[in-house]
Amino acid sequence: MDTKKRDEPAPVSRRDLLAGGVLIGAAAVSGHVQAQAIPEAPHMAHPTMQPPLFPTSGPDYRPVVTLNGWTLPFRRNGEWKEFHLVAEPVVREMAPGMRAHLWGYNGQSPGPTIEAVEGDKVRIFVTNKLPEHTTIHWHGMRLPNGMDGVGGLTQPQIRPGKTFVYEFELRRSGTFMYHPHADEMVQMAMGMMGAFIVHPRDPAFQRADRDYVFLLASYDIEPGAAVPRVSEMTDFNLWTFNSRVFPGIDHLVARKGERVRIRVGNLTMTNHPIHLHGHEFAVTGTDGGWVPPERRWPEVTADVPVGAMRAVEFEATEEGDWALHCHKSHHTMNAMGHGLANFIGVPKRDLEPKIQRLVPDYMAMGNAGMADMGEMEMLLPDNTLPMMSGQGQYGPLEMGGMFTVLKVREGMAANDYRDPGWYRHPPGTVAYEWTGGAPTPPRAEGPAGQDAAVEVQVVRRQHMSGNH
Amino acid sequence: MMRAPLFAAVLGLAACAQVAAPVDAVSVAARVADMIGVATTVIATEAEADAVRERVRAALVRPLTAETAVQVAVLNNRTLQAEFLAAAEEFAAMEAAVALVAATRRAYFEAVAAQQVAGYLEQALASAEATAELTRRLAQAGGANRLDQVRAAELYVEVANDLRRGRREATLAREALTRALGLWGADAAYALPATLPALPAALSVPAGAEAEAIRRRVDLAAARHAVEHEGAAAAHRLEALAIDVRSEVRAAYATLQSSYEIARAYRDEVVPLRRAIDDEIVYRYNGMLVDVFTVLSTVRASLAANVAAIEALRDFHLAEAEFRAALIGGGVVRSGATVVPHAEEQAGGH
Repeated sequence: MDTKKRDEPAPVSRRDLLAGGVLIGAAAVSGHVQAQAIPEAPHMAHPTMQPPLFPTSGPDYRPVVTLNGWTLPFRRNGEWKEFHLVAEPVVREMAPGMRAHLWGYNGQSPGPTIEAVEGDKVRIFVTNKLPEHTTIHWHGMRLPNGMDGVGGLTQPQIRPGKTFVYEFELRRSGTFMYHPHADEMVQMAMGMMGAFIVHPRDPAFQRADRDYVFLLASYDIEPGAAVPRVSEMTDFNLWTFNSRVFPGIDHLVARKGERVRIRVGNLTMTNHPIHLHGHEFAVTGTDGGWVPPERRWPEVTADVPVGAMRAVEFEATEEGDWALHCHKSHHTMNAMGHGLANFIGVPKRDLEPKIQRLVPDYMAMGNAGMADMGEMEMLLPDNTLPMMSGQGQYGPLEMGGMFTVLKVREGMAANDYRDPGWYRHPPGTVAYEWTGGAPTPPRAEGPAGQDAAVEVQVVRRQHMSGNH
Repeated sequence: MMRAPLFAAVLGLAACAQVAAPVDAVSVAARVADMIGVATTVIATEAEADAVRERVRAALVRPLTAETAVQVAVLNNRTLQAEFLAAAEEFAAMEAAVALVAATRRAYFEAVAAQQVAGYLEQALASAEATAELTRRLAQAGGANRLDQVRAAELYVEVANDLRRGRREATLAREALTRALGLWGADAAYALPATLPALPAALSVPAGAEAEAIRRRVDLAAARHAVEHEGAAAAHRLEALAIDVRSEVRAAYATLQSSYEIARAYRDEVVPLRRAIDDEIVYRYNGMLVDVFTVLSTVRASLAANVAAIEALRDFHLAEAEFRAALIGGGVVRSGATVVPHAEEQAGGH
C-alpha cells in the first residue's frame, strides 16, 4: 500500500499535492490536477433498476442487478479500481406518490452497489456533503484496521465538505455492504447504506445466471411528512427493499431453468423472514462467506438477522408470477394505524348518514375486514401511500412494504431484465369458483356477541337449521 | 300564564285612561328621539297603543335585526314610557332611553349568539351519540371493553348536559331581549336570525370620539345642568365625570379593537385551520391510520372552536354596543359591570 493514502482534513493545497502524488505523480496544483486526482462521482436521478454493469477487462463475472438501484462505475488507475461515493441529502421516491427526504450516496438511497473482484485493490473516495460528519464502514470486509471506518475508533470522522480515501484489497469474494459508522443510528435511519459485491476471481465458482441484491431498511415517516423520525426504535411504518415499498419495487425476472441468486442484507432493527413462493432455495452465502454445498439445506424462507446478509440460490424451474416478501405480515403493509378498533362484525352503515352530517366525507369502513382499503381510492394525507394497494391481473394485491414478484418465463433472453407482464396461466391451472351444489358443512358458532348483528343472525339460523 | 292577558289588559286600560299625553311628555319623547336617532312616541291613548302595536308587529314580521330591536324597544318598552310620562326630570328620561338602547343591543347579540351556540352543541351531541352507539355495538361484537363503553356513555351524558345548558342560555338570553322589547304573548314568538351579523371588513378609527362623547353624553348634560343650579361642588363633579367619560371612550375603543382582532383571527385563521384539521383527520381515517372515534372526537373539538368563534364575534358586537354607549350614555361601565359581559364557556364536548 502507498504511504500517502489518507486525505487529511488539511488545507486544500496540501491535499492536492498528496492526492496528486498518489494518483498521477504530478506536483502541480490546478483544477486539472484536481479533476484527474479524484474520479468523477456519478449521480443517479432515477429510482428504477439500471442495467447490470458488465466487466470490460479483468476476470469475467456475472454482474449483480440492484433492485431499484445501480452499480457505481469505477476508474482503473494502475492496479487500483477507483470509486467515488458522495454522501449527501437525497430525495428518494419510495413508490409513485411518495418521496422521502433521506440521506444517501450519489443521488439515491441506498447508494450505488460497488462491484469488484476478489483480489482487486480498491480506492474509494468518500466526499461528505452532509451537514454533519460521517464515515463509511465496509461491513464484513477483511481490511487494514484503519480502513474499517469506525469514527473515533479507527479514523477521524469525515467533516462536512471533506473527502477521505479508503484503500484496501478485496481478500475474499462474497456479499457485503457499506454504511456509516459515525452518528450511525441517525445516518442509517436516514437511509445511508449500499451493497458491496465481491465476485470470485474464478468465474466458474458460484456462477449464477441472474444475481439480484437488495438491502432491507425501515423508516418511520409520519403520514404527510417526508423526513424519517430518526429516534424511532420499533414502530416503523415503511419496510423497504432498497428504500422502496410495494408497489414501487422492481420485479425480479428469470428465464425458466436459470440459476438465480438473491442477496439480501438487513440494516433494519429486526429480523426479516424473506419468503419465496413456488421454489425451494438454499442459503449459499452470508456476509461471512460461502456456505459449502454439503452444509446447505433446503428452505422456502430465509430469516435475515439484523446486521447480516444472506445469499440464496435456486433453479427457477417453475414458470409463473411468484411472490417474494417478508413473512411478517405488517412488513407487507405501508403506513397504517396500530391503535384502531376492530369493527369486524359491527354494522355501522346505518350510522353513516348521521356521521356524514358532521363529517361530509366520511365513509363507513372495516365492517368485514380491511380489504376495503385495497379496493377504494380515497383522499389520503399528502405524500402518503395507501396501507395496502397494487393491482394484479385478478384484482387488488392488498400489499405494501417488503413485497415484490419473481417472474419466471420460458424463453427469455439471457440478459433481458424487462418486465414480461403478468403470467399467462395455461388453461385449467388457475383456482376457480365451484358453482355446483353442495351440502352446507357444519361450522362452529360465531362469538355470542355477534348475535346482535342482524346479518350474522340470519346466517346462523340457516346453518343451525341444517344442523338440527 | 292563563291570566296574563287579562291582567295586562286591565293594566293597559288603566295606563290609557287619560285622554291625551301631557305636552311635557310629548316634547320629552321628541327630544329623546332626536337625541338617540330612533323614533319614539308617547303612548297615552288606546289609539296610540294600537298604532304602536301595529308598528311593532310590522317590525317583527322578519327576523329581527339589531336596529329593528332597538326601534321596537324604544317604541314599546313600558319603563321608558313611564319615564316619558313622569317627565319631571327630562334627563332621567334621556338616561333611561340611552340605557334601554344599549341594553337592547346587548340582549340582542347575546340572544342570537346563544341560539347559534346551541345549534353547534346539538351537533356535538350527535357526535357523542354516534361515539356511544358505535362503542356499544363494538362491545357487543367483542371489539371494545366495558371501560371503553362506560367512557363513551359518560361522555354522551356530559355533552347532553352541555346542550341542556346551552339551550337554557339561549332561552334566558332571549327572555332578556323580550323584556327589553316589551313583548308578551304571541308577539314574544318573534324570529331571530340564525347567525350573528358578520364582522365588518374593517374597523374605522373614530376621529374625535372623545370630543363627541363630551358633546353627546347624557350624564354629562345632566351634570352640566346641575352646575347651573348647584355651583362649585357640582362643577368638580362635572369635571371628574368628563375625565371619566374621555377614559371610558378610550377603554371602550381598546376593547372594540381587540375584540375585532380576536373575532377576525377566529374567522380567518382558527375556523379554517380547524376545517383543515378535520380534513386531515378524514384523510387519516381513509388511510386506516386512525379510526372513526378519532374522527368524531376531532369533530367535537372543531365544534368547540366554532363555538368559541361565535362567542368572539358576539364579544365584538357587544364591544361595539358598549363603544356606542360610551359616546352617548347607557354603558355598563357606569353601573360598574364589566365592559363585555362574557357568557360562561359553553364549548362542550372536550
